Amino acid sequence: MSATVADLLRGGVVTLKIASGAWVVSAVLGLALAVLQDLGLAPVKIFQASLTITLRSVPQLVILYLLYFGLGAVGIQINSILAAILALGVADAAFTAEYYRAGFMTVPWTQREAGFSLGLSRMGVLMRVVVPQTIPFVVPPLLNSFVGLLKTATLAAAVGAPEILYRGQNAMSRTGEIVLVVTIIMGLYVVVTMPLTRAVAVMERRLRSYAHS
Amino acid sequence: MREGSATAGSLLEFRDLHKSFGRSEVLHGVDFRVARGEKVCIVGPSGSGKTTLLRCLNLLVEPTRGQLYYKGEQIGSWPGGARVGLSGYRSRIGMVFQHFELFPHLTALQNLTLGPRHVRHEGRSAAEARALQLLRHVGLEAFANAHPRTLSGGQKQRVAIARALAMQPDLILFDEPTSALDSEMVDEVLELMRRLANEGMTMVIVTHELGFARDVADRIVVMERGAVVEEGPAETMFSAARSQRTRDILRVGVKR
Ligand SMILES: Nc1ncnc2c1ncn2[C@@H]1O[C@H](COP(=O)(O)OP(=O)(O)O)[C@@H](O)[C@H]1O
Ligand SMILES: [Mg+2]
Repeated sequence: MSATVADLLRGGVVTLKIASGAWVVSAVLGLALAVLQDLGLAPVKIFQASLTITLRSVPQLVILYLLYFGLGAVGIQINSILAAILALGVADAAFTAEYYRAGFMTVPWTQREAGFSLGLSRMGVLMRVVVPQTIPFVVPPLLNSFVGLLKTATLAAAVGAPEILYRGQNAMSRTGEIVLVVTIIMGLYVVVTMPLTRAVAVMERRLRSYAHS
Repeated sequence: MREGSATAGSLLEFRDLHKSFGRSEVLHGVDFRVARGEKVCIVGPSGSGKTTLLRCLNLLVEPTRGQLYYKGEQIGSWPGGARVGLSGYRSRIGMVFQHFELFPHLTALQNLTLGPRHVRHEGRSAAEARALQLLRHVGLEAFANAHPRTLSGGQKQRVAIARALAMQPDLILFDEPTSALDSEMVDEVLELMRRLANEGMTMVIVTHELGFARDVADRIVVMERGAVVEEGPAETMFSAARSQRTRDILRVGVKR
Protein backbone atom coordinates (compact mmCIF):
# COMPACT_ATOMS: atom_id res chain seq x y z
CA MET A 1 0.00 0.00 0.00
CA SER A 2 2.59 2.62 1.03
CA ALA A 3 4.82 1.48 -1.81
CA THR A 4 1.91 1.98 -4.19
CA VAL A 5 1.23 5.44 -2.82
CA ALA A 6 4.90 6.41 -3.11
CA ASP A 7 4.94 5.15 -6.68
CA LEU A 8 1.80 7.08 -7.56
CA LEU A 9 3.24 10.21 -5.98
CA ARG A 10 6.36 9.88 -8.09
CA GLY A 11 4.03 9.53 -11.07
CA GLY A 12 2.17 12.63 -9.90
CA VAL A 13 5.43 14.57 -9.97
CA VAL A 14 5.99 13.52 -13.58
CA THR A 15 2.41 14.52 -14.38
CA LEU A 16 3.02 17.92 -12.82
CA LYS A 17 6.20 18.25 -14.81
CA ILE A 18 4.42 17.46 -18.08
CA ALA A 19 1.52 19.79 -17.31
CA SER A 20 3.80 22.65 -16.24
CA GLY A 21 6.07 22.23 -19.23
CA ALA A 22 3.10 22.06 -21.61
CA TRP A 23 1.61 25.07 -19.89
CA VAL A 24 4.74 27.14 -20.47
CA VAL A 25 4.90 26.03 -24.11
CA SER A 26 1.23 26.88 -24.52
CA ALA A 27 1.49 30.27 -22.79
CA VAL A 28 4.50 31.35 -24.84
CA LEU A 29 3.41 29.91 -28.18
CA GLY A 30 -0.15 31.16 -27.66
CA LEU A 31 1.17 34.65 -27.03
CA ALA A 32 3.33 34.46 -30.15
CA LEU A 33 0.33 33.33 -32.21
CA ALA A 34 -1.89 36.08 -30.80
CA VAL A 35 0.77 38.73 -31.46
CA LEU A 36 1.31 37.52 -35.02
CA GLN A 37 -2.39 37.53 -35.65
CA ASP A 38 -2.67 41.04 -34.22
CA LEU A 39 0.12 42.29 -36.46
CA GLY A 40 -1.92 40.84 -39.30
CA LEU A 41 0.80 40.01 -41.80
CA ALA A 42 -0.99 38.22 -44.63
CA PRO A 43 1.21 35.11 -45.10
CA VAL A 44 1.44 34.61 -41.35
CA LYS A 45 -2.33 34.91 -41.10
CA ILE A 46 -2.95 32.09 -43.54
CA PHE A 47 -0.35 29.83 -41.97
CA GLN A 48 -1.71 30.59 -38.56
CA ALA A 49 -5.35 30.09 -39.44
CA SER A 50 -4.60 26.63 -40.84
CA LEU A 51 -2.45 25.78 -37.82
CA THR A 52 -5.20 26.86 -35.45
CA ILE A 53 -7.85 24.82 -37.24
CA THR A 54 -5.58 21.79 -37.29
CA LEU A 55 -4.65 22.05 -33.63
CA ARG A 56 -8.25 22.48 -32.62
CA SER A 57 -9.69 19.64 -34.63
CA VAL A 58 -7.03 16.97 -34.16
CA PRO A 59 -7.08 15.03 -30.85
CA GLN A 60 -4.09 15.74 -28.62
CA LEU A 61 -3.21 12.07 -28.61
CA VAL A 62 -2.75 12.12 -32.36
CA ILE A 63 -0.43 15.11 -32.08
CA LEU A 64 1.46 13.27 -29.37
CA TYR A 65 1.84 10.18 -31.57
CA LEU A 66 2.91 12.39 -34.45
CA LEU A 67 5.66 13.98 -32.37
CA TYR A 68 6.84 10.87 -30.57
CA PHE A 69 6.65 8.26 -33.30
CA GLY A 70 6.78 10.64 -36.26
CA LEU A 71 10.01 12.28 -35.13
CA GLY A 72 11.34 8.84 -34.24
CA ALA A 73 10.65 7.69 -37.79
CA VAL A 74 12.83 10.47 -39.20
CA GLY A 75 15.58 9.65 -36.76
CA ILE A 76 14.92 12.27 -34.09
CA GLN A 77 14.54 10.47 -30.79
CA ILE A 78 12.97 12.48 -27.99
CA ASN A 79 11.94 11.08 -24.64
CA SER A 80 8.30 10.51 -23.89
CA ILE A 81 8.04 13.29 -21.30
CA LEU A 82 9.48 15.90 -23.63
CA ALA A 83 7.23 14.66 -26.44
CA ALA A 84 4.20 15.02 -24.18
CA ILE A 85 5.24 18.52 -23.08
CA LEU A 86 5.62 19.68 -26.66
CA ALA A 87 2.54 17.95 -28.07
CA LEU A 88 0.16 19.01 -25.31
CA GLY A 89 1.63 22.52 -25.21
CA VAL A 90 1.33 23.06 -28.94
CA ALA A 91 -2.19 21.64 -29.02
CA ASP A 92 -3.24 23.93 -26.17
CA ALA A 93 -1.63 27.01 -27.73
CA ALA A 94 -4.43 27.34 -30.26
CA PHE A 95 -6.81 27.98 -27.36
CA THR A 96 -4.40 30.07 -25.32
CA ALA A 97 -3.98 32.39 -28.29
CA GLU A 98 -7.68 33.12 -28.11
CA TYR A 99 -7.43 34.08 -24.43
CA TYR A 100 -4.75 36.58 -25.30
CA ARG A 101 -6.72 37.90 -28.26
CA ALA A 102 -9.76 38.41 -26.07
CA GLY A 103 -7.48 40.13 -23.56
CA PHE A 104 -6.05 42.43 -26.24
CA MET A 105 -9.58 43.58 -27.01
CA THR A 106 -10.03 44.86 -23.47
CA VAL A 107 -7.33 47.47 -24.12
CA PRO A 108 -8.85 50.53 -25.84
CA TRP A 109 -7.41 51.46 -29.21
CA THR A 110 -6.58 54.92 -27.86
CA GLN A 111 -3.98 53.28 -25.60
CA ARG A 112 -2.25 52.00 -28.69
CA GLU A 113 -2.43 55.45 -30.23
CA ALA A 114 -0.72 56.89 -27.18
CA GLY A 115 2.06 54.35 -27.76
CA PHE A 116 2.27 55.10 -31.48
CA SER A 117 2.45 58.81 -30.79
CA LEU A 118 5.61 58.20 -28.74
CA GLY A 119 7.11 56.48 -31.76
CA LEU A 120 6.68 52.87 -30.66
CA SER A 121 6.33 50.36 -33.48
CA ARG A 122 3.29 48.11 -33.74
CA MET A 123 5.29 45.37 -32.05
CA GLY A 124 6.53 47.81 -29.40
CA VAL A 125 2.99 48.95 -28.67
CA LEU A 126 1.82 45.37 -28.35
CA MET A 127 4.60 44.25 -26.05
CA ARG A 128 4.90 47.37 -23.90
CA VAL A 129 1.36 48.74 -23.83
CA VAL A 130 -1.18 46.07 -24.76
CA VAL A 131 0.20 42.79 -23.43
CA PRO A 132 1.04 44.06 -19.93
CA GLN A 133 -2.51 45.39 -19.56
CA THR A 134 -3.84 42.07 -20.80
CA ILE A 135 -2.07 39.92 -18.21
CA PRO A 136 -4.66 40.24 -15.42
CA PHE A 137 -7.34 39.11 -17.85
CA VAL A 138 -5.47 36.06 -19.12
CA VAL A 139 -4.21 34.72 -15.81
CA PRO A 140 -7.54 33.08 -14.82
CA PRO A 141 -8.09 31.29 -18.15
CA LEU A 142 -4.42 30.30 -18.20
CA LEU A 143 -4.77 28.76 -14.74
CA ASN A 144 -7.87 26.94 -15.94
CA SER A 145 -5.91 25.64 -18.85
CA PHE A 146 -3.26 24.38 -16.43
CA VAL A 147 -5.96 22.42 -14.62
CA GLY A 148 -7.01 21.01 -17.98
CA LEU A 149 -3.43 20.10 -18.80
CA LEU A 150 -3.08 18.20 -15.51
CA LYS A 151 -5.79 15.94 -16.86
CA THR A 152 -4.66 15.67 -20.47
CA ALA A 153 -1.12 14.98 -19.21
CA THR A 154 -2.34 11.43 -18.54
CA LEU A 155 -2.34 10.95 -22.31
CA ALA A 156 1.43 10.72 -21.98
CA ALA A 157 0.87 7.19 -20.59
CA ALA A 158 0.18 6.21 -24.20
CA VAL A 159 3.82 6.79 -25.13
CA GLY A 160 5.12 5.25 -21.92
CA ALA A 161 5.85 8.36 -19.89
CA PRO A 162 5.94 7.26 -16.23
CA GLU A 163 3.24 9.68 -15.14
CA ILE A 164 0.49 9.02 -12.66
CA LEU A 165 -1.92 7.01 -14.79
CA TYR A 166 0.86 4.92 -16.33
CA ARG A 167 2.06 3.97 -12.85
CA GLY A 168 -1.51 3.52 -11.73
CA GLN A 169 -2.20 1.02 -14.48
CA ASN A 170 0.93 -0.88 -13.53
CA ALA A 171 -0.06 -0.87 -9.89
CA MET A 172 -3.55 -2.11 -10.73
CA SER A 173 -2.26 -5.07 -12.72
CA ARG A 174 0.43 -5.76 -10.11
CA THR A 175 -1.81 -5.63 -7.03
CA GLY A 176 -5.32 -5.99 -8.44
CA GLU A 177 -6.39 -3.14 -6.14
CA ILE A 178 -8.22 -1.22 -8.81
CA VAL A 179 -10.59 0.72 -6.58
CA LEU A 180 -7.82 1.70 -4.17
CA VAL A 181 -5.51 2.92 -6.91
CA VAL A 182 -8.26 4.87 -8.65
CA THR A 183 -9.30 6.45 -5.36
CA ILE A 184 -5.75 7.54 -4.57
CA ILE A 185 -5.36 9.07 -8.03
CA MET A 186 -8.66 10.90 -7.68
CA GLY A 187 -7.66 12.14 -4.26
CA LEU A 188 -4.37 13.47 -5.54
CA TYR A 189 -6.12 15.25 -8.40
CA VAL A 190 -8.68 16.86 -6.13
CA VAL A 191 -6.01 18.02 -3.68
CA VAL A 192 -3.96 19.70 -6.42
CA THR A 193 -6.86 21.06 -8.47
CA MET A 194 -9.11 22.46 -5.75
CA PRO A 195 -6.87 25.33 -4.63
CA LEU A 196 -6.23 26.22 -8.26
CA THR A 197 -9.89 26.46 -9.19
CA ARG A 198 -10.55 28.41 -5.98
CA ALA A 199 -7.78 30.83 -6.93
CA VAL A 200 -9.29 31.27 -10.38
CA ALA A 201 -12.70 32.03 -8.91
CA VAL A 202 -11.26 34.62 -6.53
CA MET A 203 -9.23 36.24 -9.29
CA GLU A 204 -12.21 36.43 -11.60
CA ARG A 205 -14.29 38.07 -8.92
CA ARG A 206 -11.54 40.62 -8.28
CA LEU A 207 -11.20 41.31 -11.98
CA ARG A 208 -14.90 41.92 -12.32
CA SER A 209 -14.95 44.46 -9.50
CA TYR A 210 -11.75 46.00 -10.85
CA ALA A 211 -13.20 46.32 -14.35
CA HIS A 212 -16.33 47.94 -12.91
CA SER A 213 -14.51 50.40 -10.66
CA MET B 1 -0.93 66.09 -58.41
CA ARG B 2 0.53 69.20 -56.89
CA GLU B 3 4.08 68.55 -55.73
CA GLY B 4 6.12 71.64 -54.89
CA SER B 5 7.80 72.27 -51.59
CA ALA B 6 7.01 73.48 -48.10
CA THR B 7 6.38 77.11 -47.25
CA ALA B 8 9.62 78.73 -46.12
CA GLY B 9 9.95 78.69 -42.34
CA SER B 10 7.29 76.11 -41.62
CA LEU B 11 8.14 73.31 -39.22
CA LEU B 12 5.19 71.14 -40.17
CA GLU B 13 2.88 71.63 -43.08
CA PHE B 14 0.05 69.73 -44.69
CA ARG B 15 -1.11 70.87 -48.12
CA ASP B 16 -4.49 70.04 -49.53
CA LEU B 17 -5.29 67.47 -46.86
CA HIS B 18 -8.29 65.28 -47.59
CA LYS B 19 -9.42 62.50 -45.33
CA SER B 20 -12.24 60.08 -45.94
CA PHE B 21 -13.56 57.39 -43.66
CA GLY B 22 -15.08 54.89 -45.99
CA ARG B 23 -17.11 56.92 -48.46
CA SER B 24 -17.56 60.01 -46.37
CA GLU B 25 -14.97 62.73 -46.65
CA VAL B 26 -14.45 64.56 -43.35
CA LEU B 27 -11.56 66.86 -44.36
CA HIS B 28 -12.00 68.63 -47.68
CA GLY B 29 -8.60 69.99 -48.65
CA VAL B 30 -7.19 71.62 -45.55
CA ASP B 31 -3.97 73.62 -45.72
CA PHE B 32 -2.29 73.69 -42.37
CA ARG B 33 1.13 74.83 -41.26
CA VAL B 34 2.93 75.68 -38.08
CA ALA B 35 6.25 77.49 -37.80
CA ARG B 36 8.94 76.71 -35.26
CA GLY B 37 7.99 78.27 -31.92
CA GLU B 38 4.52 79.17 -33.13
CA LYS B 39 1.38 78.49 -31.09
CA VAL B 40 -1.64 77.68 -33.22
CA CYS B 41 -5.07 77.18 -31.70
CA ILE B 42 -7.70 75.30 -33.67
CA VAL B 43 -11.30 76.00 -32.77
CA GLY B 44 -14.56 74.89 -34.27
CA PRO B 45 -17.73 73.00 -33.48
CA SER B 46 -17.75 69.35 -32.57
CA GLY B 47 -17.46 67.12 -35.62
CA SER B 48 -15.72 69.77 -37.72
CA GLY B 49 -12.62 67.60 -38.16
CA LYS B 50 -10.19 69.07 -35.63
CA THR B 51 -9.18 65.75 -34.12
CA THR B 52 -8.86 64.15 -37.51
CA LEU B 53 -6.61 66.99 -38.65
CA LEU B 54 -4.32 66.52 -35.64
CA ARG B 55 -4.17 62.78 -36.19
CA CYS B 56 -3.26 63.26 -39.81
CA LEU B 57 -0.42 65.55 -38.76
CA ASN B 58 1.35 62.77 -36.88
CA LEU B 59 -0.03 60.09 -39.19
CA LEU B 60 -2.02 58.27 -36.54
CA VAL B 61 -4.56 58.07 -39.32
CA GLU B 62 -3.63 57.67 -42.96
CA PRO B 63 -4.53 60.75 -45.01
CA THR B 64 -6.45 60.18 -48.23
CA ARG B 65 -4.88 62.98 -50.24
CA GLY B 66 -2.35 65.75 -49.72
CA GLN B 67 1.33 66.42 -49.10
CA LEU B 68 3.01 66.48 -45.74
CA TYR B 69 6.23 68.39 -45.10
CA TYR B 70 8.37 68.37 -42.00
CA LYS B 71 11.33 70.73 -41.64
CA GLY B 72 11.06 71.41 -45.36
CA GLU B 73 11.32 67.77 -46.33
CA GLN B 74 8.44 65.89 -47.86
CA ILE B 75 7.38 63.20 -45.43
CA GLY B 76 4.72 61.78 -47.65
CA SER B 77 2.28 62.38 -50.44
CA TRP B 78 -1.15 60.79 -50.69
CA PRO B 79 -2.48 58.80 -52.44
CA GLY B 80 0.82 57.03 -52.21
CA GLY B 81 2.12 57.01 -48.72
CA ALA B 82 4.73 58.06 -46.24
CA ARG B 83 8.34 58.25 -47.38
CA VAL B 84 9.85 57.93 -43.97
CA GLY B 85 9.53 55.51 -41.09
CA LEU B 86 6.44 56.35 -39.09
CA SER B 87 8.08 55.61 -35.74
CA GLY B 88 10.91 58.05 -36.21
CA TYR B 89 8.58 60.74 -37.51
CA ARG B 90 6.03 60.35 -34.73
CA SER B 91 8.71 60.33 -32.06
CA ARG B 92 9.49 63.96 -32.99
CA ILE B 93 5.90 65.06 -32.41
CA GLY B 94 4.32 64.92 -28.99
CA MET B 95 0.62 64.29 -28.55
CA VAL B 96 -1.64 65.07 -25.61
CA PHE B 97 -5.07 63.46 -25.63
CA GLN B 98 -8.39 64.60 -24.29
CA HIS B 99 -8.63 61.54 -22.05
CA PHE B 100 -4.94 61.54 -21.07
CA GLU B 101 -4.24 57.99 -22.22
CA LEU B 102 -1.65 57.39 -19.56
CA PHE B 103 -0.54 53.77 -19.42
CA PRO B 104 -2.42 52.38 -16.40
CA HIS B 105 0.01 49.53 -15.75
CA LEU B 106 2.93 51.92 -15.31
CA THR B 107 3.80 54.48 -12.67
CA ALA B 108 3.97 58.16 -13.57
CA LEU B 109 7.74 57.87 -13.86
CA GLN B 110 7.52 54.77 -16.06
CA ASN B 111 4.97 56.53 -18.26
CA LEU B 112 7.62 59.16 -18.87
CA THR B 113 10.52 56.78 -19.45
CA LEU B 114 8.77 54.34 -21.80
CA GLY B 115 9.37 56.38 -24.94
CA PRO B 116 12.91 57.52 -24.12
CA ARG B 117 13.97 54.00 -23.18
CA HIS B 118 12.30 51.99 -25.90
CA VAL B 119 12.13 54.44 -28.78
CA ARG B 120 15.20 56.57 -28.19
CA HIS B 121 17.07 53.70 -26.54
CA GLU B 122 18.30 55.80 -23.68
CA GLY B 123 19.78 54.09 -20.66
CA ARG B 124 17.52 53.56 -17.71
CA SER B 125 19.22 55.88 -15.25
CA ALA B 126 19.53 58.73 -17.73
CA ALA B 127 15.88 58.37 -18.74
CA GLU B 128 14.75 58.26 -15.12
CA ALA B 129 16.81 61.26 -14.13
CA ARG B 130 15.29 63.29 -16.93
CA ALA B 131 11.80 62.02 -16.16
CA LEU B 132 12.14 63.06 -12.53
CA GLN B 133 13.30 66.47 -13.62
CA LEU B 134 10.24 66.77 -15.88
CA LEU B 135 7.89 65.64 -13.13
CA ARG B 136 9.39 68.34 -10.94
CA HIS B 137 8.82 70.78 -13.78
CA VAL B 138 5.11 69.95 -13.84
CA GLY B 139 4.92 69.93 -10.04
CA LEU B 140 4.42 66.20 -9.61
CA GLU B 141 7.77 64.92 -8.44
CA ALA B 142 6.11 63.50 -5.33
CA PHE B 143 3.92 61.30 -7.55
CA ALA B 144 6.74 59.65 -9.48
CA ASN B 145 5.81 56.21 -8.20
CA ALA B 146 2.05 56.73 -8.25
CA HIS B 147 -0.13 54.82 -10.66
CA PRO B 148 -2.38 56.91 -12.91
CA ARG B 149 -5.60 55.68 -11.28
CA THR B 150 -4.55 57.37 -8.03
CA LEU B 151 -4.11 60.78 -9.70
CA SER B 152 -6.70 63.49 -10.25
CA GLY B 153 -7.65 64.43 -13.81
CA GLY B 154 -5.51 67.55 -13.71
CA GLN B 155 -2.55 65.58 -12.41
CA LYS B 156 -3.03 62.95 -15.08
CA GLN B 157 -2.98 65.51 -17.82
CA ARG B 158 0.15 67.13 -16.40
CA VAL B 159 1.84 63.72 -16.37
CA ALA B 160 0.66 63.20 -19.95
CA ILE B 161 2.20 66.52 -20.96
CA ALA B 162 5.43 65.57 -19.19
CA ARG B 163 5.36 62.23 -21.03
CA ALA B 164 5.21 64.09 -24.33
CA LEU B 165 8.03 66.39 -23.22
CA ALA B 166 10.18 63.42 -22.24
CA MET B 167 10.65 62.63 -25.93
CA GLN B 168 12.09 66.13 -26.45
CA PRO B 169 9.68 66.69 -29.33
CA ASP B 170 9.93 69.48 -31.89
CA LEU B 171 6.26 70.26 -31.36
CA ILE B 172 3.32 69.05 -29.33
CA LEU B 173 -0.24 68.48 -30.53
CA PHE B 174 -2.96 68.97 -27.91
CA ASP B 175 -6.43 67.60 -28.56
CA GLU B 176 -8.83 69.38 -26.19
CA PRO B 177 -6.49 68.84 -23.24
CA THR B 178 -8.90 70.31 -20.68
CA SER B 179 -12.26 69.12 -22.05
CA ALA B 180 -12.38 66.02 -19.87
CA LEU B 181 -11.42 67.88 -16.69
CA ASP B 182 -13.60 69.08 -13.86
CA SER B 183 -13.63 72.86 -13.98
CA GLU B 184 -11.45 73.29 -10.89
CA MET B 185 -8.64 71.38 -12.61
CA VAL B 186 -8.67 73.22 -15.90
CA ASP B 187 -6.47 76.05 -14.70
CA GLU B 188 -3.55 73.93 -13.52
CA VAL B 189 -3.30 72.40 -16.97
CA LEU B 190 -3.70 75.67 -18.85
CA GLU B 191 -1.12 77.21 -16.53
CA LEU B 192 1.37 74.51 -17.44
CA MET B 193 0.63 74.98 -21.13
CA ARG B 194 1.20 78.72 -20.78
CA ARG B 195 4.59 77.98 -19.29
CA LEU B 196 5.49 75.68 -22.15
CA ALA B 197 4.42 78.39 -24.56
CA ASN B 198 6.67 80.90 -22.81
CA GLU B 199 9.55 78.45 -22.97
CA GLY B 200 9.22 78.52 -26.74
CA MET B 201 7.60 75.14 -27.41
CA THR B 202 5.86 74.81 -30.75
CA MET B 203 2.24 73.98 -29.99
CA VAL B 204 -0.86 73.06 -31.96
CA ILE B 205 -3.85 73.17 -29.64
CA VAL B 206 -7.42 72.16 -30.30
CA THR B 207 -9.39 73.94 -27.60
CA HIS B 208 -12.66 75.48 -26.56
CA GLU B 209 -10.90 77.71 -24.02
CA LEU B 210 -11.17 80.98 -25.91
CA GLY B 211 -9.56 83.08 -23.21
CA PHE B 212 -6.54 80.84 -23.27
CA ALA B 213 -6.46 80.86 -27.06
CA ARG B 214 -6.58 84.63 -27.11
CA ASP B 215 -3.68 84.91 -24.64
CA VAL B 216 -1.42 82.22 -25.96
CA ALA B 217 -2.11 81.69 -29.66
CA ASP B 218 -0.08 83.41 -32.32
CA ARG B 219 -2.61 82.25 -34.85
CA ILE B 220 -6.16 80.97 -34.66
CA VAL B 221 -7.57 78.49 -37.14
CA VAL B 222 -11.34 78.20 -37.29
CA MET B 223 -12.72 74.97 -38.70
CA GLU B 224 -16.18 73.95 -39.69
CA ARG B 225 -17.47 70.94 -41.61
CA GLY B 226 -14.05 69.64 -42.55
CA ALA B 227 -12.65 72.89 -43.85
CA VAL B 228 -10.83 75.95 -42.53
CA VAL B 229 -13.35 78.79 -42.41
CA GLU B 230 -10.88 81.47 -41.53
CA GLU B 231 -7.48 81.86 -39.93
CA GLY B 232 -5.34 84.72 -38.77
CA PRO B 233 -3.41 86.31 -35.93
CA ALA B 234 -5.20 85.98 -32.60
CA GLU B 235 -5.69 89.77 -32.14
CA THR B 236 -7.39 90.34 -35.48
CA MET B 237 -9.43 87.16 -35.28
CA PHE B 238 -10.98 88.16 -32.00
CA SER B 239 -11.52 91.82 -32.90
CA ALA B 240 -11.99 91.86 -36.65
CA ALA B 241 -12.77 88.44 -38.10
CA ARG B 242 -13.94 88.59 -41.67
CA SER B 243 -16.77 86.09 -41.51
CA GLN B 244 -19.84 86.24 -39.32
CA ARG B 245 -19.44 82.53 -38.60
CA THR B 246 -15.97 83.08 -37.15
CA ARG B 247 -17.26 85.92 -35.03
CA ASP B 248 -20.03 83.67 -33.70
CA ILE B 249 -17.66 80.82 -32.89
CA LEU B 250 -15.10 83.07 -31.24
CA ARG B 251 -17.69 84.99 -29.29
CA VAL B 252 -19.67 82.21 -27.75
CA GLY B 253 -17.17 79.42 -27.83
CA VAL B 254 -18.46 76.09 -28.89
CA LYS B 255 -20.69 73.63 -27.15
CA ARG B 256 -18.92 70.34 -26.74
N1 LIG C 1 -12.51 56.59 -37.22
C1 LIG C 1 -13.55 57.22 -37.78
N2 LIG C 1 -14.39 56.55 -38.58
C2 LIG C 1 -15.44 57.17 -39.16
N3 LIG C 1 -15.72 58.47 -39.02
C3 LIG C 1 -14.93 59.19 -38.23
C4 LIG C 1 -13.79 58.62 -37.57
N4 LIG C 1 -13.18 59.60 -36.85
C5 LIG C 1 -13.90 60.72 -37.07
N5 LIG C 1 -14.94 60.49 -37.88
C6 LIG C 1 -15.92 61.49 -38.35
O1 LIG C 1 -15.20 62.58 -38.86
C7 LIG C 1 -15.84 63.81 -38.53
C8 LIG C 1 -14.86 64.70 -37.82
O2 LIG C 1 -14.57 64.15 -36.56
P1 LIG C 1 -13.47 64.77 -35.60
O3 LIG C 1 -12.21 64.96 -36.35
O4 LIG C 1 -13.41 63.92 -34.39
O5 LIG C 1 -14.11 66.19 -35.25
P2 LIG C 1 -13.82 67.16 -34.01
O6 LIG C 1 -12.55 66.73 -33.37
O7 LIG C 1 -13.74 68.52 -34.62
O8 LIG C 1 -15.00 67.02 -33.11
C9 LIG C 1 -17.04 63.45 -37.67
O9 LIG C 1 -18.17 63.45 -38.50
C10 LIG C 1 -16.74 62.06 -37.21
O10 LIG C 1 -17.92 61.33 -37.04
MG1 LIG D 1 -12.24 66.13 -31.36
